Amino acid sequence: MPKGGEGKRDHFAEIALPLMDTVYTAAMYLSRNPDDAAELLQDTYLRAYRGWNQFAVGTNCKAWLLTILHNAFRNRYRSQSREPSMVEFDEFAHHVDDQSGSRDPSSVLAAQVLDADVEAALRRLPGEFREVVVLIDLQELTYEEAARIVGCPIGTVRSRLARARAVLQKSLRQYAKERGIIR
Amino acid sequence: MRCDEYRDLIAADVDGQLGADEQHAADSHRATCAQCAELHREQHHLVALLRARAPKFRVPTTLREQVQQRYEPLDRRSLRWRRVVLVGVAVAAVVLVVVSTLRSRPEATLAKLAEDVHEVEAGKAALAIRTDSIEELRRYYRSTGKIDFERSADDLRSAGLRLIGGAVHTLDHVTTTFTLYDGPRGVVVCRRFRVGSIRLPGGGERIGHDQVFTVDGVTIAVMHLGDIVCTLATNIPRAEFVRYLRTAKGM
Repeated sequence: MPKGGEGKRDHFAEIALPLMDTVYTAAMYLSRNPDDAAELLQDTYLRAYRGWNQFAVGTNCKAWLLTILHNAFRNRYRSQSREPSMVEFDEFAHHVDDQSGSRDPSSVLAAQVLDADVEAALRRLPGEFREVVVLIDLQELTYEEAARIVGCPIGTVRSRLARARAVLQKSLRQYAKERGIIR
Repeated sequence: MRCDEYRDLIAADVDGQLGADEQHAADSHRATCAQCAELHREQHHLVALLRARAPKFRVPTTLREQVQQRYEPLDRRSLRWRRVVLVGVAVAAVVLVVVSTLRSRPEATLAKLAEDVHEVEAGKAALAIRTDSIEELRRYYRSTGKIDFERSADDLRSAGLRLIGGAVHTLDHVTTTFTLYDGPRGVVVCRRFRVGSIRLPGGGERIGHDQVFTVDGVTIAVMHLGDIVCTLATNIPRAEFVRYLRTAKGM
């Protein structure tokens, strides 16, 4: 049990605990399995509670918690070397360019793919791509906040996001093809 | 700007995160490169798809209770279950009152117009006719016998918007047109109905006689066309859409 006064608990419970689903969703996409996500969530809240004095009330608590989550995730997987490496650029270029024979109205694709396809496509992204998509497209953080969290320049965030979205588009199109929705 | 340079910036372009110089260069490139323009449009749809359809996960109950018990104040923990019951009853009562009140509030009508856009983004909008011909769409609206005004839809190509189709829907129990347009920067849903048949709020940003609101991330313009009210709801960034409105003469 963490030590601290009831004042600290009050603030923490009021501001940080309601964000548990948000943190858990990010943890699920980062770790890709419920057991690891549960550990990451508990680890994040323990670290957040211990460091609560460093949080400036009135600033973006979601971004602050996600920073802690990402640090915990990186520490965990860096030591275990379980995360697949980043996709090679050539592969990315293939994803972007190999679209001429499978053009489809994106709105039609959006109407037909399943939520499970979207989740699967996200899970298949390499970690460095997945984290920027989760932060910006799912958690709707700004590029600046995402750059601080992943610890790289905004230009890198932009570039990774562009590539990640291209890979996602390709995956979703492939799922639609497999289901016979598009040719 | 070359295609490979643009593709590194495409996410920031879609999200409106480019600086003025880069934005100008990106706009110029898209204007001359059909493939990059198409990729831009696809990414725009993709972002909407991700936000609408990527599953959000709820913390399992046991895990939630473990974390809450660890960090909630002591007095809250002992009172939690009693509060859960009381809050449940109170919420049910409040929801009943609020739902019945919201049905007639003008602000709630704006929220419904915003929901039109979210449904289109999620691929859930139902169209009775798909056509890129305004005349054909107007004929359809007349043929339903439910729309009795001539100016039921307009051509918005001057604003860079392509007609997708339409349907007759209700809004606050009033029959309206529901016309869907698509453009490189997003979708627009146009509803039209008789003045006075649906209550809409005052206020908003004034552009001439028109009003502009932002609700749930959706920009909504309310315009008066004689005895017809035209609402345009869109996921195009507000500043850009206001420029579209000024461009679309005779709308």
